[in-house]
Amino acid sequence: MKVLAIDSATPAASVALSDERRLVASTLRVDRRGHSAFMVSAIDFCFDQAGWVPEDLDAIVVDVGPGLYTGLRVGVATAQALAAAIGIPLVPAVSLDAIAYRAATGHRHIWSVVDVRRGEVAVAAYRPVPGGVVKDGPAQVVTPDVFRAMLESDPDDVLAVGDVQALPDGLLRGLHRVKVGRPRYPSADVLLEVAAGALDKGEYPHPDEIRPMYLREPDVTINWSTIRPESPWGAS
Amino acid sequence: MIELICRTETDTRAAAGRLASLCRPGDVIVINGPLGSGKTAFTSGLADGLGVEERVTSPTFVLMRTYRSGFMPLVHVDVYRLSTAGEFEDLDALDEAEGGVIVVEWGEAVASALGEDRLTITIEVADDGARTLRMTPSGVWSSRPLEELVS
Repeated sequence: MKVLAIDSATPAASVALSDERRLVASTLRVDRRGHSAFMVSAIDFCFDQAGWVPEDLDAIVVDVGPGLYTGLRVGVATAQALAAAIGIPLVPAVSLDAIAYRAATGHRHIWSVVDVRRGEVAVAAYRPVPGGVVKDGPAQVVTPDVFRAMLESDPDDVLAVGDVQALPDGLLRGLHRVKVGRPRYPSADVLLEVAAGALDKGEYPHPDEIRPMYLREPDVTINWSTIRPESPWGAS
Repeated sequence: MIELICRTETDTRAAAGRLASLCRPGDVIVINGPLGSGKTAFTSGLADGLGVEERVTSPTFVLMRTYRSGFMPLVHVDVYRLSTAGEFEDLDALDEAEGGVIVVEWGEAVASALGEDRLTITIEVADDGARTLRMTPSGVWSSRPLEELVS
């Protein structure tokens, strides 16, 4: 089975190809801006290196977040367009899962962190098991202070992974049972491993149903009728 | 507050071009006005004044356009298709405009995300087609010599 993975949920954007679960090609770039320009050329580059054409693919995996708005939209839109054009399944993967999966520690409770801006982070807890990790609670968007309180009340030794550097300086000071680890960002090659089970079992939604996962409470809606009576294209 | 009367699109562009000489890195300009009132023409004139080489086109469909060929970056955003102020922060527009000028069409809708330092321009269209550009400075803009724009 030939699979393409696309990840642009965080400042790291990456693309990877695998064949029968074996990594064939991958490329990664870290920059908050320019994911859209990177993505298509990165896919071309990987296909070129592998000697594949898009029609060779059997499935696509995409990181649906949580993460940064613009990057998520680039990744999900690119993946949906390709999957629809080739007519193959699209498998959603979660950024926090990919970070925790790669963190792989012997015994520590893993907390995975993704920066979602506006002074908040997305976090989720995982337990290491042979061959990977299992989710140990829901993914949620919290303020750094709430995250610190969550770590403080965790009775286990903790490995904090992901974009810990996005947290305010000194936030984790004094938490003696908390160790900080890698990776900082999810990446497409890990998505391939995280999604392998769902791919084998054929467990994935219809491509049109896949949406970026923001995990945020909707904030106050702009009341456009009081600001601007017309639609941007004239009469509404 | 100052008012400029622009009888033609050329006048609007010229006024915006003069405004460019008052702009500093980090500036925020909010522009309001009905469809066809010259918001894009104004931004295009500002772009000319900033030395931007590319053609400026409406950001309404793509939400945000960035021009980097001038003396400093120019970011042009239309927030009309956004439904919350949080979505504006998600666009990362202020970071995109770091060290440059950001023009936000209908920016008053996301004022909480823009901060106090801004120039608000409201365009009114008269029956004879003349445009009145009403410029209201706040914060750092209050000390800029906007009267130089009246020529």
